[in-house]
Amino acid sequence: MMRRRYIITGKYFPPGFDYEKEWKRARVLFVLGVGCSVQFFFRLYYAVQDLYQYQFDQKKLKWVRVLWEGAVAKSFPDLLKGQWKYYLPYFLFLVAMIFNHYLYYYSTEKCIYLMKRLPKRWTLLKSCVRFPFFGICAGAAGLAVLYLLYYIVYLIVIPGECLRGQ
Amino acid sequence: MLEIKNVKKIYYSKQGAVRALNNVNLSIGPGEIIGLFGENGAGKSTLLKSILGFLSYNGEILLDGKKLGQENIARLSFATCEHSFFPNLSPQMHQEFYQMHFENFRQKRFEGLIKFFDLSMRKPLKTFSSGQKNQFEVIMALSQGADYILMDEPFAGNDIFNREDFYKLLIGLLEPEETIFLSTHLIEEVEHFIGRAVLLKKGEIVGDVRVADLEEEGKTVMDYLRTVYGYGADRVKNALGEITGEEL
Repeated sequence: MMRRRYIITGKYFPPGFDYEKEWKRARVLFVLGVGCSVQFFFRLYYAVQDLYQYQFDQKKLKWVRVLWEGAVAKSFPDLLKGQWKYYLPYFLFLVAMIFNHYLYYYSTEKCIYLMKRLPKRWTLLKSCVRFPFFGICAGAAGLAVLYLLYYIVYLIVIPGECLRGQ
Repeated sequence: MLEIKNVKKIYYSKQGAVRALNNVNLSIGPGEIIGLFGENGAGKSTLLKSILGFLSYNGEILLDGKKLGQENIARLSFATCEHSFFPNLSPQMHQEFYQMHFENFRQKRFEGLIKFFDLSMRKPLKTFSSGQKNQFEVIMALSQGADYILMDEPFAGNDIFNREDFYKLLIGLLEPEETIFLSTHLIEEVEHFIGRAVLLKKGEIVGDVRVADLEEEGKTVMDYLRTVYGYGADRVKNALGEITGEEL
């Protein structure tokens, strides 16, 4: 019933538009972006490695890992450098969605004539923009949560004394 | 009263400027049924689209003294051969959409017309034949609850029986304050149904006449059109003579 209502109202996307297909594609792009972002952990691993040196412990008679004196870890933003590229397709797709929604009104039949005649001034604009806008907000919120988790991992993994100046 | 005052419309293209409407002045009163005639490219569709605000223009178009805008646009409806419905939605869904957006939606009329034309309420419109799509387009224009119903070649593609049914239905359906402004090439078909004929030629109104006045003079709309357009009866004969070189 809810889905049917979404399809008809024109409040979120053009009436009759196959929004599920579009949303599915957007989700795939987002998941691919998140998948690529896992690269962060490799960078983090090497950043942690760079903080340590190996010294031979005469007492234990084995090599032990000790922090370099005054070692400072790569900053969190440094580790994330270039990650924005992974989400670019998702956000560009959502922007393109706006134009796609508008073009839909010109495809096969000219339903744009009906949309332009609606007494509620903003229905046409809303139908083109709202769904992509929600997608952008949802994506941004998802990324905020994801990078908050990454940051927590970063704080756990990097020794406190190496976070100086951050 | 729908008033069109000094409306001009120019299309710009690589070939230069084309004047589609030139100082069009027209008043359409409530309850009138007006036929808008003219050859291809005369500006009929441009005039209708300008009234509806789909095209920018110079001049003024007023509805009961007020400029057309979001607050009074619902008083106009539109049926076009280009179709303005959503192809993926069914008539049932269109009904709901119109109810949501047009407070004067004529539910009873909608149901009656759908039943009369035996259209499915549940199938998406993209599965309809072109004739059925035209029928649906006109049904929505008539059911919206508008005072001024603009139609641009709404019956293109419909068979003669279908069209005749429509004219009869329209005459029976319309309420006294409802106005029809109908652009069509089917002059002889609609002349018994319209009360007034407006003729456009190269973007200018070259004729505006009451059908009753013509009938008093013993003329038809077609006769009037031929006179105004300066259509020579021997035009075809002369052309054939020139092409074939024979004397006809």
